[in-house]
Amino acid sequence: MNYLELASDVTKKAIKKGANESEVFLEISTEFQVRTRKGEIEILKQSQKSGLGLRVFVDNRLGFSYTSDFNFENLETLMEKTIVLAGHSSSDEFFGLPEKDALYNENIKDLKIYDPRVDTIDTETKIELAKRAEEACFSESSRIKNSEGANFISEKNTIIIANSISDPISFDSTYFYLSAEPIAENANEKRIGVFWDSKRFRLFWRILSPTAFCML
Amino acid sequence: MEKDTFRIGRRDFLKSAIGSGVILFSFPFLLDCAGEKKMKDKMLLELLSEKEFKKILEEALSRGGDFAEIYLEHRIKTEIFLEEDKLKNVSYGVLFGAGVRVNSGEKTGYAFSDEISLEKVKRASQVASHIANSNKKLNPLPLKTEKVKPYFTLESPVSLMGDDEKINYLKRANQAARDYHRKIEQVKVEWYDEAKNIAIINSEGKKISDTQHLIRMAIFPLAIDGSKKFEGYATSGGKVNISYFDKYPPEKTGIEAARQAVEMLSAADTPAGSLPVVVGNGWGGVLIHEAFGHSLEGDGIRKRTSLMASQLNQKVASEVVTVIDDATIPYGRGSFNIDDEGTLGQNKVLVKNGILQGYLYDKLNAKLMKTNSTGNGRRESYRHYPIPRMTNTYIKKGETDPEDIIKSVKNGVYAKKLGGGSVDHTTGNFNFLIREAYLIEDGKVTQPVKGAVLIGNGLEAVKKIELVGNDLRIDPTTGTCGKDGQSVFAGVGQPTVKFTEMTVGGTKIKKV
Repeated sequence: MNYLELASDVTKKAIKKGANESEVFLEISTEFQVRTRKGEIEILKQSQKSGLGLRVFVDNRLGFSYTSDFNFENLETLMEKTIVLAGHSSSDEFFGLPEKDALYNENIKDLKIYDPRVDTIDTETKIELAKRAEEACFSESSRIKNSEGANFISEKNTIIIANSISDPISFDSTYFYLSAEPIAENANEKRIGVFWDSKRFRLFWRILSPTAFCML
Repeated sequence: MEKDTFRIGRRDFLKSAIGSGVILFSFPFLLDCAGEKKMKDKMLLELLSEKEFKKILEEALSRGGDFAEIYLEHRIKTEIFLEEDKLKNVSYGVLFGAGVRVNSGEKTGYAFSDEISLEKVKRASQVASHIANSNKKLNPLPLKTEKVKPYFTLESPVSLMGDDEKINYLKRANQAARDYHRKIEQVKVEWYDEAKNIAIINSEGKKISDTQHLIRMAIFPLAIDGSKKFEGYATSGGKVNISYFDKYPPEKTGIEAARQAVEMLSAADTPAGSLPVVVGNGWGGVLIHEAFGHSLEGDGIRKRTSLMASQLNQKVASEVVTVIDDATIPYGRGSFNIDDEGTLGQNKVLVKNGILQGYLYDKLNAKLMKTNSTGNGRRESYRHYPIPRMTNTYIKKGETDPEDIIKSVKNGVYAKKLGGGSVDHTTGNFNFLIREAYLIEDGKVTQPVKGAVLIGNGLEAVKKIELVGNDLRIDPTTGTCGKDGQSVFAGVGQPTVKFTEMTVGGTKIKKV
């Protein structure tokens, strides 16, 4: 599916259906999550999710809808429903898209939020990172006797923004997350320690060893 | 690539699923379903054939998993926001997709698709299947459609309600709050409703579906008097019929929130220290939910991360305390006919007269603990795997008149309405803001006080419950419970309850 075309199409159709201005915010995310506990995999989750938000302005009135279902009939219904919703809302002179020159353009600097190496980390490495984070906690103290586990999450997101006053744009971002939740026990007492870190670039794994995750 | 095969036309499904809300959307091309007044959860089961479901389950178990499940969901949400007498936002959302889960021992593999087609759901099942690595091959059992016998039925659910009607309720609540007192200078009103169809198909032969509806309206009037400001808060709704609003008109909720805002303008500083505390009925049950109930959820019990794991049949609360988790309460916020694994909703006594009776289980944790699911496997949406969660959790009605409970306190705090808080679920340590608090002096509720915070440990606090009122109320309007990054609707409740002592955080030191 060409998502850029889809977003652009929906904005144009919304105008044809009666909106004065329209905007589509479309997000596609690929997410990987592994949770290990006591050295074993507990959860492995991998999916691609997508969603589309449509904002329309009709006579300075706002209508908003969103969907995970990109089927043609649903999108048609959504566009018409959104315009009906705008009719319900109150008019506000400030409701509307930004001025064209305030929108994204090619002169905007690279924000360094996308690490293309996201696709090069293999599953075994991801599992290993979670295992190492938890293992570091167990080796820190003999009082660490249990654990809620350790999580590694990586995400790759593509955002597409299309509107009725300029060309559609898209940008990518990445997200890496590592956490550990060891439990210290002493007689009838339990205390949980939670530590996590997240970064846009995988580079941080070299700077921060998972062994730093034991913070009890 | 195999061709997607729909048993009914997709367009027909969407039309029917939206139900008569469609009429109210005024789309001429959808008016042909004007006669269709209810959502059709069973239609989710018709999106794929029995043969296709079997194929997906076989794929899911192909690497040696011992359980596989397909979860289908179609949900329509409406949100409306009114502020400054203006409708600032009216939005509408659709969630539609399928999740596939594979269990192998203690491991879970999960993947989902935003499209319900054989190709996409099968691909999700292939991803989820990778959790297992065994030569053992289990065949899914033949599917058998189960009929749900509802605990309560909604003759006029939210899907029959028009946007105009919803907006009118918001306006009425807004006006009632503004008319209550001249000091009410601003009002916000939020509306949320959803109509959800779910279907569960699993390798044990289960094939079941259900429809769930929910409404919530929340009102926030702001009272101002010079430099003093206070925002009131009241809610209404539940899994209710539209006729609910005949009994609980929006004006009633608006006035209640406005009363609270005006009343708390005259609040004094809160005494700090260890004091007897009386917590009001209804939403006060959030304290038990957060600080005690979570410790009874089956995952923490199996992993022995909960202190309650070794306390079965032991005294864990004072003898006047009986705690229940009940998914079958009519119109309850946490009520359902089946949970998100297809297990029937149940009424469970967790603590009886202070003795711990049992835990809350989903299928996975129940199996690993060699017991049965208690119908507490819940998930936020098809994008999430199910975990053990509470439903409607409350302290059972006691025998004491609430007035006598107040009379029994010489100097203490009456927490009429609790606000938000935070809890460490491993230890039970909590702190909760009191939204509406009063002093109790010589057995009478007197001065309102501001900024009061309750601090304590839930597992210890339940041992300090001395009196339980006869005025049980289960709040169907407010609770949304978060755990492991997933939010689900939950009901909480209790009668008026007296704690012999609890740490009250405040700004004024008072000797007791």
